[in-house]
Amino acid sequence: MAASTPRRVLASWGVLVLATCLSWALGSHHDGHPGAANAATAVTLAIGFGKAHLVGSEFMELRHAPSALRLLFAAWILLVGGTLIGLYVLS
Amino acid sequence: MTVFALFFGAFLYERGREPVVFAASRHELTLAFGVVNTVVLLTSSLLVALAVQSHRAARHRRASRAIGGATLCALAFVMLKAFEWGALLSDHLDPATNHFFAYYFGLTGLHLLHLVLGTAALLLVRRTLRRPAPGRRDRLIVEGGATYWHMVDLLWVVIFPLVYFSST
Repeated sequence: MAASTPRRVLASWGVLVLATCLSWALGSHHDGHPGAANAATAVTLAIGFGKAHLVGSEFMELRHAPSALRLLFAAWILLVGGTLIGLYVLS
Repeated sequence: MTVFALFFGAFLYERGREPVVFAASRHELTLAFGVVNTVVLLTSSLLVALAVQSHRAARHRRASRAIGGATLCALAFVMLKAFEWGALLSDHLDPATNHFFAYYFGLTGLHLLHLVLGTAALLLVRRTLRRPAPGRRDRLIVEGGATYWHMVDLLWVVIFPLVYFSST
């Protein structure tokens, strides 16, 4: 697996900032249909957990960690993210 | 992280019980504070990740400068949070106003506490990097401090959409 390099962490930072701008754009529009607004908000939550995974994998260097730790982290992201998005959609 | 996860779940559960209160209260927040603070924290994490790489390459001065930059980002985050809280409190919006603001101040306050501890860890890392010949134990301090800082960032990127968007 490729080692972390300054270029790689810089690219990760770029993706994280772009994802933040995308969330901002999605979360700022509330004039449309309520269903569309709810879907957009669920997407912003999913983006948040995607960003959390990227922070863990690239900045914390978990992608170089033993597979058990990588799986535990992925399970936390999927379990907590899935539960929260489910709570949001169903409530 | 599990405590935060439970806190996140409780926030959304309450939002389901009081959707009108949560939607109205969320509009009292200034979204720009959340966006700028997210970019500030992501930038601090980038600097910390670059510092760890410089440290491994034995470029300790460069690593120390990057940690200094990350510490400035942490101070900027605290200042912006103080402005954000100050604006809300001056409008008489506080934890006792309703459940939304109780969770808002609780979640962001608990995160801020972790951020302040993380800033202390960054200062310790910077001091370690300034030693003439950092050893094995010093490497643990640098990598442990960096990992803690990234956790503070990781929690914030989830708190951001939860607090600023999920009450619509």
